[in-house]
Amino acid sequence: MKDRKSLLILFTGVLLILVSVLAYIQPWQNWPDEETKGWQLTVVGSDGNQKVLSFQDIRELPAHEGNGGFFSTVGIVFGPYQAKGVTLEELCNIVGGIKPNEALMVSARDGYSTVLSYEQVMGDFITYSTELKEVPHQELKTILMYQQDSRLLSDADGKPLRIAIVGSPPNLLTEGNYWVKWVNKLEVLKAP
Amino acid sequence: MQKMHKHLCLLLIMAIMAGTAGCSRPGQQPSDDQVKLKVIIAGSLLVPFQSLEKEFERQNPGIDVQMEGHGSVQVIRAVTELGDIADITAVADAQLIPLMMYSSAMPDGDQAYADWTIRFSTNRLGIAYKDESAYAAEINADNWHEIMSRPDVTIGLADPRIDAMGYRTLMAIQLAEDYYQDDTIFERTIGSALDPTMKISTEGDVDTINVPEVVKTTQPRVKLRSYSIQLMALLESGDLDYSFEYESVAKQRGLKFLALPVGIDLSSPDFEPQYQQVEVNLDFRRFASVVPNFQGTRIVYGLTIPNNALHPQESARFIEFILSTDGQGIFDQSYQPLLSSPLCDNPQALPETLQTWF
Repeated sequence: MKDRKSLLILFTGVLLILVSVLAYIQPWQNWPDEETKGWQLTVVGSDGNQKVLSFQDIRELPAHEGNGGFFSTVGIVFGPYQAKGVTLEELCNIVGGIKPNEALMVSARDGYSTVLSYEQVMGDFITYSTELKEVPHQELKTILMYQQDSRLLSDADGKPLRIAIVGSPPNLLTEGNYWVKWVNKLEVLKAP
Repeated sequence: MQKMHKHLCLLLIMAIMAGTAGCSRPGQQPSDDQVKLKVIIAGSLLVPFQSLEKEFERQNPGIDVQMEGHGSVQVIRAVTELGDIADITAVADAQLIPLMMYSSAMPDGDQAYADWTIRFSTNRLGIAYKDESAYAAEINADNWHEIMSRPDVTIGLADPRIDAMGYRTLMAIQLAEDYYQDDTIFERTIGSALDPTMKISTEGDVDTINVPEVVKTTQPRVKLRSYSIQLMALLESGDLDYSFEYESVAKQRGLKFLALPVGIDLSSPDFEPQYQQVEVNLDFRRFASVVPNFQGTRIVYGLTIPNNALHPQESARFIEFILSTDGQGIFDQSYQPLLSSPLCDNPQALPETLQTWF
């Protein structure tokens, strides 16, 4: 009887510890939900050539990881984060690439859009320290991020796809208006 | 056996403690009875509103004012498109409230997000600089455009596609051509440094500045940044000589401020016809809900209580405080005076306690 009781206590203790560990690491955060599974990214080349990619298609492309953050119009700092995604250059190459003097329109689910110059697609941005002082950088990449700090993006962070600018040294920030959330279309614009 | 039993009980207790520790987060406070008043405001209002918050909370300990700052369009989009629930929205361009909130219906019915706008404050454009800025001892309201065109002078431009200060800067510079009777001012100060160039077309009395999809600078003397706060930081560090800025923001940061003639500083109701002679048109639409065409007009700040606000009574109380003598004093100290008489486009729709003000 006493053995049974001891076993029960042991089992309960182990179960509680397991539940606590799961509650802490939350592995389900990396399981794509239905909205993410159904997400479509339309990539359009400068000649009108178009490709529609699913979230899974994007995850199967060569990935790039890096560190970066951004700040808002009023100077609030977000991140830096460890970001994983596909470079915009890689995505443009799917539809014929992007040439100097062309630009890339990035559009989002909520009707927001921005235009990146060729140089910005290639990672040319002014970078800032976390104290918002302009500082030099080494390498920068502009990516379409699908994982932030080892987790899929939350809706508040732009689930499932968001523009991110990452590079070295770590803890660099860029202007927040380029970190477009909920990205659903990339379109290469011809030179004017 | 008894010892093992004790160890197992200890294990169980530790497991329970681990489990409950995992459920709480650092800094979590138990809820209290304070009303949390969410106020979303334009960035240039942050300083006076922070002072308002402090004094209002001191006088109203049951209310916790929680502020959030953004660009003016984003302030409204937060409510009308991104689902935020705000108790008050306040913007640096009062036109945006009727434009974006009166015709947008809330998700749960036909009611619009807002029915009235109180115009409560103004500002003026000028040039921020420091004593150490090149030719600082020489610059004045007559020669600023000549000094800002010199090759050894660095000037800042906020991105007109991103920041209202950017397109208002373009407006002021273009208005200067008419004011000073010199049609080379725009080209000399910034036009020649931009790639591609900004085409300016004229129809009747109105000059329209067309901003292309991509804006880059070709000369190191013109520094283009997305937000005007970055330009202020460059001024403060000595990496920039001059930049257009609101008077309140320049003075709040301890910078020198060169006032411009009222015919170009977008501050006076008497010069509204002149201001309307310039427009800025963006070649790409950043927000699907906002037509990117901005007409020159006096700078007027507006606010409203969205119809889905959670605390309309407390919001009205806060607005009364803004308009009160205390509020006026705070705005005066922030170099941003309130309008001598606030204006409202639809006073009958105001909360009762605010109607007495109009």
